[in-house]
Amino acid sequence: MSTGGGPNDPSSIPLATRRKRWILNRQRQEIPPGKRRAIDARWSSAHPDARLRSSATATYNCVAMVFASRRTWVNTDQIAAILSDDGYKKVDEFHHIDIGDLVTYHDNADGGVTHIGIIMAHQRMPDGGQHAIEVMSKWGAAGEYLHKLEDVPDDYGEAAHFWTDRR
Amino acid sequence: MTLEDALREITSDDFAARLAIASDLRMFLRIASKQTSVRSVLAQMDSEENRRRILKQVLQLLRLDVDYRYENPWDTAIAVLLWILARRTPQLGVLAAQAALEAPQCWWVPRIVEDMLRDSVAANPTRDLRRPEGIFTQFASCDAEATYFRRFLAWRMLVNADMQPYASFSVKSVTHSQPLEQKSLLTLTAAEAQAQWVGPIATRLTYA
Repeated sequence: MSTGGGPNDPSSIPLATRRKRWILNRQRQEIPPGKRRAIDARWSSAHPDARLRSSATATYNCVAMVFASRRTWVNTDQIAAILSDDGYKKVDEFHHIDIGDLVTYHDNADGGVTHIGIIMAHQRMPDGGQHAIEVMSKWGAAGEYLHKLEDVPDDYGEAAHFWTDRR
Repeated sequence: MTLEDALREITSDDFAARLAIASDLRMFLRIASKQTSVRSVLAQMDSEENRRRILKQVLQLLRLDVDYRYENPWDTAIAVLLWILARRTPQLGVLAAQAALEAPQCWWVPRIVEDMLRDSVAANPTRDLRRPEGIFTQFASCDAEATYFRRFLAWRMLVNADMQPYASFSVKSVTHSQPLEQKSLLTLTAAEAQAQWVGPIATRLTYA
């Protein structure tokens, strides 16, 4: 039994960072149709303002949506290495965030990365108040959603860091 | 919440949906541990009868047919119940985990099992559960393995009283198979149990 996701794991696909470091990954079997419907119903009703872009699937998760073209499942513990190897820089100012940048969500308790998404829209409020940021992200094996920055399952914690690969 | 209500909840589609947002085992277990049904089961684990009921539930789920095209629909429930058993009764949890190795098309179960067996091996480095042939050759006089195997089979018979287990093992490409009765199982000598130990893991334990 191997749950490694390395090059010798038959369930992994070739996947590497820009620095050619192997990204541990495993392809997962699809969820039965009945369960998929239950998952969509559950999370669409819990987050009515989030738009379901694509139905629940176990083929890929949030990390693989961002870094692996929706082809496989990559654990969140790979995110830090990928961001580093792919030359992402942290964006400290809200007004420097742009479409295509990434956002990582972190556990409120231990600070670990729990989730990642792509910025799809960024609008500054005319009164100079809060920025409206829209994100596309895949919620585990649940669906892929277009949602406001903070409109994610509570277990993902808060959006803590923004990242860009812009030159 | 009664134990039966909690088990019904843990095996429901809605429960699996709530845990579906997890991307890794750490988050999976964190979400699971917040569920009322899981807390309720954990709180009722003091009773021997309840522990046996949970083990029975796991083994029942393991026996259900699975559509080969899809992930095991009971994957989440089995994984969570194994984790509960491991937290409250590690020894029983390892026994259930051993049985769960047979579960087809699971995602979370192998991760939980791997964690549990790794812990078990760390606690007793002479026991390598993932390489049973190694046990046979390296620890031929190890009473602990014999006891473990006896208990494993005894538990399976206890929760499946109407089933007759067969232990089978292969020597030089010839498969030997023999029925086991609970009485003989409990009086099995250490040496006999050692010989049997290889069978269900190297091949598998079957029921008539």
